[in-house]
Amino acid sequence: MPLLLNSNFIDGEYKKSFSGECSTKSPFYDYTIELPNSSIVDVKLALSYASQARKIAYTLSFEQRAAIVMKAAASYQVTDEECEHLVKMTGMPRKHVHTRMSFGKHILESLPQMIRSRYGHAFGTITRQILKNGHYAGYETHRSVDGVIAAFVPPNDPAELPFLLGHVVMYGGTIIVKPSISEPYMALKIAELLTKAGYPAGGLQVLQWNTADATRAQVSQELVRASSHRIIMGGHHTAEQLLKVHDNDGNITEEHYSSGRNCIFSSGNSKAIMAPGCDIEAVADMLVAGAYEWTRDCVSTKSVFVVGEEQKNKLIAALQRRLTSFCVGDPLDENTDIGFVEDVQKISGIIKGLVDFKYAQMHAGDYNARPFLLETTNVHSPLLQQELPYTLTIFPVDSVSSAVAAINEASLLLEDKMTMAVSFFSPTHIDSLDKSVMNMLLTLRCHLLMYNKPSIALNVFLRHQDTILTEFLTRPMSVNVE
Amino acid sequence: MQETITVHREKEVLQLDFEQRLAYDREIFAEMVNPLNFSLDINPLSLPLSIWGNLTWEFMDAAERDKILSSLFRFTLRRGLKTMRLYKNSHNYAAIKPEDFQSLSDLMKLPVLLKDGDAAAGIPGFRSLALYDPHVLRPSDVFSSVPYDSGGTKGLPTPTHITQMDMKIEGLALAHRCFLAGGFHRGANLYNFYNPSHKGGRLIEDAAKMLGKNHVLTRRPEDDLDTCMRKIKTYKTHIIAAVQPPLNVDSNTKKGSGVSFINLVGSDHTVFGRKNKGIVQRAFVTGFQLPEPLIKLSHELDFDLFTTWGASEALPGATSTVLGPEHRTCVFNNQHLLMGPHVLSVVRFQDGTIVPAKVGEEGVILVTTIAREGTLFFNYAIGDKATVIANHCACGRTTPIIGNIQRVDDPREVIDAGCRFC
Repeated sequence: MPLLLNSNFIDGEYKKSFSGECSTKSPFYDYTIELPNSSIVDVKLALSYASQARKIAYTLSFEQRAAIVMKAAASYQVTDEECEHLVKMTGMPRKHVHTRMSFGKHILESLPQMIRSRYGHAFGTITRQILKNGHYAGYETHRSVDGVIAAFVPPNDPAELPFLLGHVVMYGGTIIVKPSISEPYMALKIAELLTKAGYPAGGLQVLQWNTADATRAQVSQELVRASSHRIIMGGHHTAEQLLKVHDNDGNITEEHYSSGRNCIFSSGNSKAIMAPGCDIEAVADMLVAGAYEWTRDCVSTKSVFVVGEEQKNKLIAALQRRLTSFCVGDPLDENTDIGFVEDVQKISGIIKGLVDFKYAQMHAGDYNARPFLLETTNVHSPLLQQELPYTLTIFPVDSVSSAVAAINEASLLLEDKMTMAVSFFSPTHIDSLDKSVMNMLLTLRCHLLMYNKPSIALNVFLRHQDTILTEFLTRPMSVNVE
Repeated sequence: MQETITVHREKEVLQLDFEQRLAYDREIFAEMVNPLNFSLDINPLSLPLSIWGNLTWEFMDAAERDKILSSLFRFTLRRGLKTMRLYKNSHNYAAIKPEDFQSLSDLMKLPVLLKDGDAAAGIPGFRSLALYDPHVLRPSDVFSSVPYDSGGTKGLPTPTHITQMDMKIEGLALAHRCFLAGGFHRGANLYNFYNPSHKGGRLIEDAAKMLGKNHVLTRRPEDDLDTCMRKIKTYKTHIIAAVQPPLNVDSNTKKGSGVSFINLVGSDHTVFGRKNKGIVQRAFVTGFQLPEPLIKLSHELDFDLFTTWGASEALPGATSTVLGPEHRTCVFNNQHLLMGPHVLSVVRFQDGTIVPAKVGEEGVILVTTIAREGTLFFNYAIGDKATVIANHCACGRTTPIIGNIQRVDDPREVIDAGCRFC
């Protein structure tokens, strides 16, 4: 069955837009997809459907919502056709696409348990019992928000949609998702899956339009204006464009930072620290997983700060061995490890410039084929700022404290002055870690500390970045029984 | 006593279905015009006002209509040349002789009246004149009138002077020749979202009352969207009259602020259309061309949608329909020209002259007044262009259908096309 990409998902059904179509072409293959080019009419109708759905979604109990998410997880399958579509649009190798898509199933399976364990539930909703002197002092509940949630989702990770929509279902929210036109499929798939599992029609809707089309300039604004909560996964630059309206002279005529609640996911450029005495081979495996298996995610590792010259040389050798056996080629091939990237000439040009001018040293890769393994000692290097795919940079340091200082300095140059994740590789179990080291790690300017974990190994049970969706997408109420 | 009989008769007439009403109007029309000699110049204001609400105008033989309208026009032209300083003081009109206008096709001999000219090219428009002296647009024989401003989208608005009789004439035309065909019927409840201080907003209310609406609700400027939606439900509104700006224009800050038609639907779609058993089943939406997505939405929710061309300078000029055979052409943006109290011409500029646009051709809309006490416009390039869609229609009307109506963004589009009459 062909993927239904040329429709919106509205009111629980695939529906053509009232406003025509647009198309988008894969940067890598002779593959073009037709998409709805929705207008304000489509947005307005979706908003009305969402308002109707909210009345039903609001009444679902925690148990019912959890059952819907679990039922969707049970139905969640990854087909060859879906994988092929994502490969063609992202250039990522088929096996990694499959892994990331499958991770979505795991997310859905885990969400109800995560919310239960983190917040508990009572009264049919998310509720934490508060103790005082061993007795219940009361409850803190989380109810779904009153308005409609708008989400703007980039194409970088197919696991983001199960994460986002699973959360919305668990909180009884209603959402309209605007996916990137370069990969709209996962939004449609997950919205349909959860709706078929029992979530009210209109609760999860997906609208597509071409944001580059000048005649659609008002559509994003209309959705932002009408929504009480916005999730913007494209960074602060995207948020600025969405949340501030300018006139033709560039003056701000409207701003939405204060007109609702905004959750802006923007961090990236994840890093790693390799403490002294590590198992080199184990760390090399985790770095390869974090840096080269999925390169479009904000949590993929871009640099590793290695303590000690000898350890650094051993790590470089271990990584080089692995990289030489990587299969570079057509991402549709099952055996391919390294797929296609956009702007490959630009990326090669940056790296060549850095190497030619001795700002970086190349340990693996050439300018015609990825992956790259580079080394730099410049904390302000573009290698520590930009999300260069299939590129890992070694940064030698003499101590963990030097690594922390360098990472913090490099992080200050990022868009929101924070690194997404820092993997800490250490021979010491976290329980045995010296307190002073732990305290030092807690000063890192990052959202996630991945202890002996690759940076891409997200833990659904933990919050990402500074926002936990439970608190963003719900409204609290305390029940005092003391 | 006579008045009571008339009122009773009006109520009966309003209960007729469209076909019955057309047959009735044909009889009345004949009674009104048969005694008159249209070789003479007849004062249109001497006819019973109800003639402007008569359906026959669009259904009658075109040649017969032309004869009647050109007689009325000659009178109006003569009056305009004599009483309006805009024409009286212009050398462009000095050689115009009303007796030369034996047919509406002779309108092509008249100068084109431009609101905005091109000062650099030495081509004047009347806006600059009217801004300093709005009375150049007012006939000197008018006793009492209200100046209604145009939209002013291209600068400061210009006034059209309208009398109480003019409002009645236009109201009758809008009520009977647009609203009836749009499926309005006696007893239905109308909610009017147009600005009541604008001429269009007032006329819609007047016209709806003429049709015997159960009640006509007009939005107060201070009513927000939620209040409006609540009133739609509590007043059991059947028909909405609202504007719809182009979809790529911010509907919250421009014309129709906050209450554009799509804002109403987006607030609660279940109120609209037969699909949801919504109470609102008809919508009269104007201001601009009906956006294609809105037309598709009307199919999706199954509500009737139609539009009428109008401006503060002249209203109504053309209309689409809800009633009629399914395969008729005059639906949505395809609008039949209405013949009187104003006449629209769609013209092209060719070798310094104007020629009527043929079917399939695009041209500039020129407005000519037939029946009005106040401001009289002759070949007035109001700032719109349109395409002639057809000359015939399955609905039985004998007037051309125009469509794809758009604003002329640059007055030079008219001037540069070869117009040298301004």
